[in-house]
Amino acid sequence: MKRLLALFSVWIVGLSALTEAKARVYIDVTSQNIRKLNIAIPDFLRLLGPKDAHVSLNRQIYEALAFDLGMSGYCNVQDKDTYIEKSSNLTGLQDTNLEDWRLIGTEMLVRGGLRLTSSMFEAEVRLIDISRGEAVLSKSYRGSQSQVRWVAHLMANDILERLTGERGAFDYQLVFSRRPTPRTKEVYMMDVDGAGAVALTRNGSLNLFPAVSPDGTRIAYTSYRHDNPDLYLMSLAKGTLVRILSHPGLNTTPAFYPDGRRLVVALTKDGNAELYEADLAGRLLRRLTHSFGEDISPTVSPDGGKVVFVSDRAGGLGLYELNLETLETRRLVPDMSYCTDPSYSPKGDRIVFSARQGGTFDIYSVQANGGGLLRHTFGEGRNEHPAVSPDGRLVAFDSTRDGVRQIYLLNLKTGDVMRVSRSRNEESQPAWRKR
Amino acid sequence: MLKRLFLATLVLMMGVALVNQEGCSRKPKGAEEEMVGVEKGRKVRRRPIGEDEYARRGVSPLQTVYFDFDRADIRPEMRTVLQRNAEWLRRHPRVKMSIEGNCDERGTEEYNMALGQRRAEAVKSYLVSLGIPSNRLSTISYGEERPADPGHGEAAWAKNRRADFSIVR
Repeated sequence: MKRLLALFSVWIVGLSALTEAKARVYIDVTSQNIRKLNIAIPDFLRLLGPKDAHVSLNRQIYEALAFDLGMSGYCNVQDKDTYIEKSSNLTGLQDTNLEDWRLIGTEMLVRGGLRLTSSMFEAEVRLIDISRGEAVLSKSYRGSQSQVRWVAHLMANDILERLTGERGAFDYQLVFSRRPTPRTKEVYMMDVDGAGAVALTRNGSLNLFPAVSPDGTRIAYTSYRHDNPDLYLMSLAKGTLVRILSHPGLNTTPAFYPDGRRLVVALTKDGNAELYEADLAGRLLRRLTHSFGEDISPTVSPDGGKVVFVSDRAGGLGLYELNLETLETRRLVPDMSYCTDPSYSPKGDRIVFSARQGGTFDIYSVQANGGGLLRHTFGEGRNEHPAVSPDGRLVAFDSTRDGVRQIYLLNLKTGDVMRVSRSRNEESQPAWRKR
Repeated sequence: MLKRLFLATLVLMMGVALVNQEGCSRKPKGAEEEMVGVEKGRKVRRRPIGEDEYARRGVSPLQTVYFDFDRADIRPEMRTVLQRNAEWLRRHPRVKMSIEGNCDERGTEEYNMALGQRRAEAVKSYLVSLGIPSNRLSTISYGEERPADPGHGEAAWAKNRRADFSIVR
C-alpha cells in the first residue's frame, strides 16, 4: 500500500513560467495541410551536477520530447547525427550558433540545461526560432529526478502550445490490460510513450476493461478475483479498492459520465446484457436499455446527454445511440455489420470505433450523427479498442500488426501510427488517464 | 470393442483433464508477496469435495458441450452429452457444478463475454429441464480468455466454443 501511494503522491515542486505574453502561432491546427516544422533537440547542457546522472536524465528527456513532438504531427524531429553544433563546446544556454542550425534546415531548436542537486533537478528550456534568432518560449521546471519523464511530457505540451496554440495530451497516462501469463490479465498503467509501466492489480485472475474517471483519480474495471466477473472501483488518490457491483453473471464494460460520479455498465442479471446507470457506490439508478440482444461497451457523450453502445439486437454488432433523457435508441452506421468499442471525441463531434470488414478489424470514425465515415487503419493486423485522447488529436488502440497485441497511438490528422508498448505480453484495452 | 474404445477415451480424457488441472493450479512464484497493496485480498480457490474419486481429484467427469459459431443454442448431438451429464449429476446429488461458457477468438472480447454467459445459461437451463435443481448449478463466462486450444484455425476455434464443467464446493 505504501509503495503504491508513494507512486502517486509525487508532484512537481515548482513550475515557473516566463513566456512571451502574446506571440504568433506557428502552425494553424485548423488547416487541412500538414506542415511539419523541423525541430532539433540537442543534448541538454550540464549546468550543475554529476555527469552520469546528467546523461541519464538527458536521455529520458530526449526520448519523451522526441516521441511527443513527433507524434503530435506538427514536428519533424531531426536526426541527431545531422547536428553540426556540439553541445559540449557550448559555454551556456545563450551560446547558440544559429548558422549551424540554419545549414541543416532547423526551424525550431529546443535548447535546454540541467542542474541536478541530490534527488532533484531543475531544467531550463528555451524554444529558439532559428530564422528570427530569438527564444519564443522560455520556461524552467523543477521536480524530483524520478519524475523527469513526466516533466519532459509537460515540456512537450508547452512547446506544442507555443507552436499551435493548443496543448498536447502527452502528460496523460494510459491504463490498460496486460496478459502476464496465458490465463491471467492485470490492469497496468504507463506513460503515453510506453515508459514506466506499473501494475495496478496483481491478483492472478482476469482484470479487464479498465475505464478512468475524467479527473484521473478512479479506475473502474471488471475482475474475476472472486470467481465472478464483478465490477471494482479503485481510487488512486485514496489507495482503496471496492467491489461495487457483483450481480450474478456479467458486471462489465464500465464507462464514466463526464461528471465522474456515475457509470454506465453492462449487466446480465436480467437475462442478456443490458445497460444500467450506477453510482460509484454500486447503487443501480436506472436501467437504460431493454432489448433481446446484448447491449454492451458504452461511451458517454461529453455533454452527458447520450450514450453510444454496441448491440447485436439486429444481428451482427451495431453501434447505437441512446438518448439519456428519452431512452430512445437509434442505429448509427447501419451499413456496417460488425462495429465495436465506440469512443466519443472530447468535443462530442465524432465517434471513433473499430469495425470488422472482410475479416480484419480496423479503426474508423464517424460524425456524432453517423455521417462522414473515415477509415484510419488499413488491414495491418487486428486493430481494436480505440480511445480518443483528451485533446482529440490522438487515438490509443491495440493492434496485432507486429505479432503479439500491443498498444499504439494514431494521429487522426496525419494518419501516423506509433507503437507505444514493447512487451512480450499481450497488452490491450487502453484508456487515457489525467495525471 | 466399442465399449473398450469408450473406456480408453474416458481414461485419456481424465488424463488430459488432470494435466490441465495441474497446469492451472500453478501460480507465479511470489505472486502473493508482490501484491501492490490495494489488491491485497482473499485468494479464492475452488476445492474438490470428497464425494467420490472424481470429486477428490477435483476433476469433473462431465463432458464438455460444444457450440456453433456465434450461437448459444444446444446442438442436437450435444443433447445426449447433456443427458449423460444429467445422469451423473443425479447419481451424485451433493456435487455442485460451475458451468463455464467460452468462445473462440473471432468476436470482440466484450461481446464474447456476453456470448459465453449465454452459452453457460443455455446449458444450465437444459440441465434444469432434465430435473437437476438450479441451486446446484452456477454459471460463469470467460469469454475468449480461456481457450482450450490456443491455435488460430477452425479446428482450434471449434474446441474453444464450449461450456466446461468444474466442481465447486
